[in-house]
Amino acid sequence: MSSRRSRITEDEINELISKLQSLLPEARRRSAGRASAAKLLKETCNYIKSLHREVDDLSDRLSGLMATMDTNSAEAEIVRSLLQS
Amino acid sequence: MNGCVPDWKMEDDSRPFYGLPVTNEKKCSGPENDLTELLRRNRHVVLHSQTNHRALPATFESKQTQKPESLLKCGYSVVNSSNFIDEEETTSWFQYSLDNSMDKELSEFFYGMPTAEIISTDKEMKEDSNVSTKKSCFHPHENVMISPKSSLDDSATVVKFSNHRKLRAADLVSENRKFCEEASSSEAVVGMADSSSLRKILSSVCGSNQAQNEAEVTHALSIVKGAKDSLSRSTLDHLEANTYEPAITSSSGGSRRSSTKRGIKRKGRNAEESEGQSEEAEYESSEANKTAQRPASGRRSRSAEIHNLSERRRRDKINEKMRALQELIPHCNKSDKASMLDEAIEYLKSLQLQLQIMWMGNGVAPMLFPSIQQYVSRTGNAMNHHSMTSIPNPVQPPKVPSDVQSTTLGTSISNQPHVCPLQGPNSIDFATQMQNFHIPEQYSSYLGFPQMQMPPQVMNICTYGPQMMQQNQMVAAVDKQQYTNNKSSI
Repeated sequence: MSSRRSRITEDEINELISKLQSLLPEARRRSAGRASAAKLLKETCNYIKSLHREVDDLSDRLSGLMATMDTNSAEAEIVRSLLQS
Repeated sequence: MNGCVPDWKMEDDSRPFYGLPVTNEKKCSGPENDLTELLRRNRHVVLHSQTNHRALPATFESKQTQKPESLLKCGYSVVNSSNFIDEEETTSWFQYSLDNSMDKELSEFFYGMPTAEIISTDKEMKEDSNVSTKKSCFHPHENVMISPKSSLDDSATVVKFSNHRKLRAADLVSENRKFCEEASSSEAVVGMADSSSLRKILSSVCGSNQAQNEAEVTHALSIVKGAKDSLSRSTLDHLEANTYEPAITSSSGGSRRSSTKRGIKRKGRNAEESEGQSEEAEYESSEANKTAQRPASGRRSRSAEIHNLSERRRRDKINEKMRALQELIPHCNKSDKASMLDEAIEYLKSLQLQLQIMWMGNGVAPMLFPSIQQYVSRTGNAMNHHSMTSIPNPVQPPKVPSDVQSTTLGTSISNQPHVCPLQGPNSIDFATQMQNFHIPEQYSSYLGFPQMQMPPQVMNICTYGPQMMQQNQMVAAVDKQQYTNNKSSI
């Protein structure tokens, strides 16, 4: 029945949302109980965006580091691989 | 007396009979039993105190509270059709009806009532006559019965009622104040169906006995009103158009006012509210099995609508956020909520891991990679600890360094000259996640580490930092190989 299915899905979703909440920065997690789903989703979107920004930032730094490193060195390889991600 | 009601068969054509709300039909089925029970009980009471109607009130009122709807519906039709308004008449009618063989007819009637829509129509006329006849048969106040006959119309009946009532009001008032209560309540119960007429009648009756229990009357009236209003406003208008209005007004202007103001709840709320009758009717109907559901449900449905709207808005917000999240996640082709959330969780984890590694890379690069062998074999635990102690850790120390790698990771991160943007908790999270190294295959590309070997090695490398500089070349070589392998596998 659709109702049954939706009920199961509802639980799944709740569980996933709580998992998501655990992933979010602790500052938010410390807040009371489980925030509303909408808040959590919004928080997740913001967090992912901030993570993206961080990745970009680090990539820039790594590329900067690359410049200073011997391109043939192992570190350069690592940095390159990191940048490629 | 029994013969007075030759065709009391309400069932057949009682549908629109007494102007009961259309919705009564479905609701009536439930209360039917109650009604029957009520009748039976009433009968019992009646038997006990034919003259002492006081017994009735208890029964009636108790019954009314139980299932006023059914009673109202049935009774209302009856009342409506037959000047039931009169308190005494009402009660006595009940009694008599129960007593007499009419009982079964009444039962039929009542049964029929629930299913029948009591709408003041032509049928009503017939019924009225029947009812009135019946009533007259066993009711001492027969004249009351007769009146409906002439007025096949509901309004007419009401008018008649009012007239009659006026006559009787005087009698009744003197007789049984209590009956007024009962009547009103019973009338209310009965007259729920025909809100307008009944209410008017009740009000008029109550007006005459105003000293009595306005509350009771209002109570009954409210019930009735609920039914009536929802039922047939038009009828009410008709009624009012007729002399009924003035009659009622004159007789019970106050009571009517009280009834009008009365609370909707059939529970006997005597609070005199100045709500519009329609509103009261709405409440009544919703209370009374939604006998008068059409307009009555207005308020309930309004709140339900509001609830639905807010719920929908909330859902929309959540969906919108889900869509936004979906856009953020690369290569997300899932439309299902749960799977999308799953992917979001995984992506978030992988992102965090990647960042962690990048930070390590950022800090490691200048440090040169320590020997991998030491880390791989985990023999460097002791060294790790040493390095940890030696390396200042401005950042919050790892939460649970159950694993050396996590510990080293945290340390390495803090070791970076640059301020690690990752908050303490973040690093801890990363550390925890690094331990697991559970990066889904699809996300390995995000990190550029298709194989999990890299992270631990990098972590190990980072831990030693400057102390392992001399080993960096070796490690780097190994790492390079690993990276090459990884890259090719990507």
